[in-house]
Amino acid sequence: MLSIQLVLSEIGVGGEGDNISTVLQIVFLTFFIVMMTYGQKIQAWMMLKNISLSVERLRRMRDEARIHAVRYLKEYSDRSDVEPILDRILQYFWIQPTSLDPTGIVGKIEHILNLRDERIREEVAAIASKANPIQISNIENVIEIGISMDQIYRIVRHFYEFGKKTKSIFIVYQLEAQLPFILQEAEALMGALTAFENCQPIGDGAGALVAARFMYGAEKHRIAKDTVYADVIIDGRTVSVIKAEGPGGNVGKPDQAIARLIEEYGRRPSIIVMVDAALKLEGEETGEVAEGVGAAIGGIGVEKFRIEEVAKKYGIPLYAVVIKQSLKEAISPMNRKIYDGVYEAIERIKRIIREKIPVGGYGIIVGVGNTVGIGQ
Amino acid sequence: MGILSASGNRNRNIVLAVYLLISVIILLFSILFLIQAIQAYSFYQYERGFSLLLTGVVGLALSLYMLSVYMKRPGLIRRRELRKMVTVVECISCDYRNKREYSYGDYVLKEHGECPVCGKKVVVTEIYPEVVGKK
Ligand SMILES: [Zn+2]
Repeated sequence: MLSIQLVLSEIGVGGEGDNISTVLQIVFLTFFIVMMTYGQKIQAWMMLKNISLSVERLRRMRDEARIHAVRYLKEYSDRSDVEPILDRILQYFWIQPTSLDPTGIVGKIEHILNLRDERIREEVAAIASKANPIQISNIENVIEIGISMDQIYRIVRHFYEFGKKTKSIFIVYQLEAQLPFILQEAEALMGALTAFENCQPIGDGAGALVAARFMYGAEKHRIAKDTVYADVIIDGRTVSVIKAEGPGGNVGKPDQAIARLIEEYGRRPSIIVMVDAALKLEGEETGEVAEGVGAAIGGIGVEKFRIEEVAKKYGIPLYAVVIKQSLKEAISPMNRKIYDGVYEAIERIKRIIREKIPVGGYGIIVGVGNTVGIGQ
Repeated sequence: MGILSASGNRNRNIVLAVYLLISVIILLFSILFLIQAIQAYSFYQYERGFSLLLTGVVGLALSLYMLSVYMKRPGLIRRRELRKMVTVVECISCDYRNKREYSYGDYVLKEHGECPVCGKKVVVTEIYPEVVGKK
């Protein structure tokens, strides 16, 4: 201990002149001046360093998604120019119609989105000539994930580079605040890749699974693009069950199916029950089931609009049953808790049917969601 | 922060080792300073004690911060859950239920042979990832 004290007093700590406290004071003063003048820039620089790691991670994920898509496409293709075509599809964009004159905008959005879907399906069908329809819809989903990853990476990189250029703490703050959500979504998308490649059910398919279990064993009819329905009898009530056609990765056209049943086939349901996966809030339990009213369907809103229109026109009550899960769970392989939610949702729907449809009456059940890995 | 993200594996390892060494040295010196400060105060040498205390606290804070950055360094492999996909098949009429490893081509509500108990149809009812341990 004595020798250490000697060393310390030699370098001036605690000695009579106490050099160290003078040095410390100068250091603190410089520190304060630097922080007052360059504090924001230093902070922005440090945050940008952090963000650069996330940008790099997103780039790796995007490349991985692309490699998956290439490998998957090549499996079903005998062409040699798969990669250039895929790179072209990956940057395929759609332009949202103008909302300056909002009348009829839903029809326009629908028109453009249909066009986009058709275009991608045509391209995929042209490359993957050896794939069957189920595989084609799975390839489409894998490519959609590739497109999303590419978009996410490009946008994040844009704000990162812009922040680097301007060193503006406000731009960097915004990016930093968004990043956890963006990364979570990107990771979930990567989880979905393997699910689609192997044709395994994902969390979003909870609604489709409910419908599938109702229609199992009944005769199915195709009613719209990638969409089937079946008439089943539940406790003496006839119910048409609608879902996307599985086990390929389809979401179908539930709005067209409902409209056709009511307007073309002249069916008059007492109620329409929609069942879908819904985003849970942090702290809520996965697989929790909740009931409400309204059109339970996500997306841009075209299908929702169409369903609400039909329901309003014919005065049909819309009931909603949702199975809660996180965004990540919704696009990852379906986990055990969601299956329990599905079984509970089935019981709830049976109860709603008993309560709201008279014996001998008629109703519609719609299972909304991506039906990858779920047959019927 | 960004300092620890230097690319190149050899370089990165050297940087990490030097960084860890510096943090530990600062930590040791800070603890020494703090012990000295206690001694100084016990001899009523307030000025000497104060400068030792200040140096010790600042050094301690710095070294702990550096170590916390080291612990959270990017590229650190965390223990992850190891998952395996399983398929559950059930008989449509009796209580027969079997869980087995997922095999490619399984999908929910796929008919899967006959029930060994009653001979009716067996259907895939669940496909989900199961945690089998940690990596
Ligand atoms: Zn059986």
